Amino acid sequence: MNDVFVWAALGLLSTAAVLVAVRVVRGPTTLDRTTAVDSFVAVLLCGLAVVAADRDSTVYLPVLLVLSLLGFAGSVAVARFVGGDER
Amino acid sequence: MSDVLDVVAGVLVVAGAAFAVTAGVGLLRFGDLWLRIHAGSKPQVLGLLLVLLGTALHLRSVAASAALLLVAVFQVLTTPVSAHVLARAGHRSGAVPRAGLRRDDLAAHEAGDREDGP
Repeated sequence: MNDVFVWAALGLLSTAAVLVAVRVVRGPTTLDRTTAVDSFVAVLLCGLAVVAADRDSTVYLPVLLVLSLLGFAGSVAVARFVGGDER
Repeated sequence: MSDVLDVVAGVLVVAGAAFAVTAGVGLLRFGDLWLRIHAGSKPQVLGLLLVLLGTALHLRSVAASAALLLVAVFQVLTTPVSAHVLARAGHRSGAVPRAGLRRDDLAAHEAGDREDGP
């Protein structure tokens, strides 16, 4: 892929990652942090997809699959724990 | 033809990354948990779908497209579920101030559930 697109996309994604990380640090509740970590995983997925396109390689695609499911499982587990979901 | 597809793929990838930035800005600037969940789910998923579509257009192989499609389907299925569970947990744990709500059907529903329950 053209380097201009790759660098523009990776720059934007880095900005997004920093913004999301600030929300992870600031909180204020665990649920805010969980939402932010969920978004961070999505940004990570975008970044890996861009790298896969840049290198014309498919070795990153299973990582994308695992990460997307792992992020979901993590955020649902934390949300159920915080919400006192015992029924 | 392949040059055109590469440019289209690049534009899609950059547009998806821009959506990720809007999601980050919303996550940082919005005032309470429910607004942040909104910012963190909808634009984020749209951005990811655009990036995956751009990657698939660039790689142009059936196996890669299938894997990317699987990621997209998982994301579209799981993000609403996790956003819903997070929002409900915010309601239950009091992370969202209920005084700001005009109407609170969830509280009524949960109270009703408890009356019907064992």
